[in-house]
Amino acid sequence: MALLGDDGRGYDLARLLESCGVWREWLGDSTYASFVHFLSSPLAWESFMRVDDSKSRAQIHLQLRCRALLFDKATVALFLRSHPTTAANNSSSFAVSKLNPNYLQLHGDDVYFTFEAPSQDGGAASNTAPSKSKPSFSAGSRYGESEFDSLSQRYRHEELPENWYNQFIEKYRLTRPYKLSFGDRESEKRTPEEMTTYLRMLEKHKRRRVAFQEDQYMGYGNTGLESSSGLDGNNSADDDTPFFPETMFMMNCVPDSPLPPTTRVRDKKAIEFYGVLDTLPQVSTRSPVMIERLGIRPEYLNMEQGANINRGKNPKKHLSQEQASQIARKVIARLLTGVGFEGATEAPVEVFSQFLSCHMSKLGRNLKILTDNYRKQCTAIELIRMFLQTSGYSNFGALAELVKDSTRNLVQQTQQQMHAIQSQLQPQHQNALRMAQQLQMTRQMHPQMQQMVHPQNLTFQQQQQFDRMMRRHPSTARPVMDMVDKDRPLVQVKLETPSELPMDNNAFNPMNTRHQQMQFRQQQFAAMSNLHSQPNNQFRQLMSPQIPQTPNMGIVRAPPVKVEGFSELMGGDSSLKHEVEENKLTSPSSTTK
Amino acid sequence: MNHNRQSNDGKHDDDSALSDFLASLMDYTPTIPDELVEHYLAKSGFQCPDVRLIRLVAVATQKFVAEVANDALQHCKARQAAVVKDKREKQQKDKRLILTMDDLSKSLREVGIPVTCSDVLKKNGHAFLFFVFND
Repeated sequence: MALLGDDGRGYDLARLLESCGVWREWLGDSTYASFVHFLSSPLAWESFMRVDDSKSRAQIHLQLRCRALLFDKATVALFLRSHPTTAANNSSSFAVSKLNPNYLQLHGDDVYFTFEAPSQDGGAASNTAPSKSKPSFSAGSRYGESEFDSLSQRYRHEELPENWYNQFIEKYRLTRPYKLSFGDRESEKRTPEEMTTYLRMLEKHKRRRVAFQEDQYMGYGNTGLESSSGLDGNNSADDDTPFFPETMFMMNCVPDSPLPPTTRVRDKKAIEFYGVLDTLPQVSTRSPVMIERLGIRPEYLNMEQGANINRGKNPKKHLSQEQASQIARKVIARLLTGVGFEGATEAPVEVFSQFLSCHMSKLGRNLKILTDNYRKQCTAIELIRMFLQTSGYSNFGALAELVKDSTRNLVQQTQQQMHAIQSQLQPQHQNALRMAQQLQMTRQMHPQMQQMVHPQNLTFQQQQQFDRMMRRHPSTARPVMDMVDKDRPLVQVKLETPSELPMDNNAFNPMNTRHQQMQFRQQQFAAMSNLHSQPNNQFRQLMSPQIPQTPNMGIVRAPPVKVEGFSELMGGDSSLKHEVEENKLTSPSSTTK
Repeated sequence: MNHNRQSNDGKHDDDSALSDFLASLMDYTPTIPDELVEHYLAKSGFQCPDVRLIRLVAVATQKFVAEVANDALQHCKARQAAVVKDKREKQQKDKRLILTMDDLSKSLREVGIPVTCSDVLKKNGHAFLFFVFND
């Protein structure tokens, strides 16, 4: 080691320790008296440090104690990687002169440590469990408790009664009570502020004890706060105060959160995430004219990034688990009724509803996995296609058929409903309505749209007539519409020419579609309430956002209609002609309110 | 080149058909409410503001559940037909189609969900059956 000199005796270091008064403290007054003359010259020191069989036991013990201190102070040289002092100058005397005097002093906290919740014993075990009792001083030794105990007991009663560490401990116990290094609080978890203070004190302590004086200037953990303190060791008040690092530092001193409670900001705002499926491809409308002039767009085409489709201004409603289970049971009841069951016991309904929930959760998991894994490689449509494939509907025709069939059933139910309602209307109004409906029907004779259309407010008879018309004259649909459109703008809402009409049914009759959907939903409500003895008001409230409230059950505003040449356009259907001739143009007086 | 073009055209047609189908979902109200579907999708960690996707899941679920219910109905009818053959005096009683656990478990087993009865408890005059889904 460089600090011990070339011969390894450490004479320079010993001289420096003597100048700091460390030998007297270390050896005790009586032993120091017999030791001090060995420091007078290098030769004397050489003879003292030489290993010789002629030496007595006391001399050997003294030598060992001196060696222990020298080595303890010189070991810093082992940990110097590229210290400029050692690198630039190989002289040990030069290196020794650069040692920090504070470093050379004896410090009890170099050896001893405390516990967060120490026990009463002197050489306390390191695995003392933290207790809530008032902490009293206890210290453990770096060298192990058993070794310490045996050492202390052996040397206490034999040749080394003045062991420095023993003296230090006893003196410390007597003079000052145990307290944590950073303050007067008992052992508890530190708050973030206390932790900051503790770390600052630890940093300061380390800087004060650096081995070489240049390290204090070079920013050994220097935060710029304590650079002027403890440089020359003259700050005796700070130097004398032992700083006992807790062994349970990592366990107990770290607060739960790095942020202090007062500065923690709880963000209650919902963070919106945009996924790959948030904006599905929009249907390209074939009627830019319609959009431009009439401003009619399908609902989802109005959706901007992150907006909710078809929610309007209604806030999102969150269901509880109980509510979801209840709704699932009602859905199952409805489904079973639709399939053909007349009743069910409680257990199958419960099991079936759980099955429904599990299946939806499974589909959700599939969607999540697909979007998480393939959102970068695949487009939204491709992801949906993959999803349908994993669900077993790679050919979504089956789903389209289901939608179609359900729509057809809806139409029939609506017709039956409207038949009952319209029978209460006056004949004149009824006829006007019928006529308007027929005209609207003729406009919607596009073959692809026919299945998607909800013939508004048709009676069963009218529907039959409509079917008959379609069967007889499917090819005349387009000319009919052209003819009618040329005469007058019949319906204020939507239509121009069939070629310009988009595929989407919404563009035609958004209002009427809504009417029919509302009616169907109300029917379903009625059906559900019949199935269960206890109608669920919550469920109805939940469903209500989807149902705009309209008092009218479906009377359509029929604008004035010109019917000249209508019978010819319809291809000579006698029954229809008869009705047309009878029904004069009248503006309907019963409009929707 | 032509083959690639044809395949691209075909793919484009498929995509447009799928887009049209998704658009048609806006006009259709599934039996399963949107809120319920959203609840279970969110439970699985998937959220999407587009209602079309919600309804797609609803339709797919409805279709699947309807198939299971239909199978259960067939089992129920078959069971009733077998009973009628044996005991004609019970014909009036069993005429109604009532879903039982037997029918449901048979239909669930066909789709790969074996349902086992782990315990039967009687409480307040009602029979509670606890089943474990082995998926």
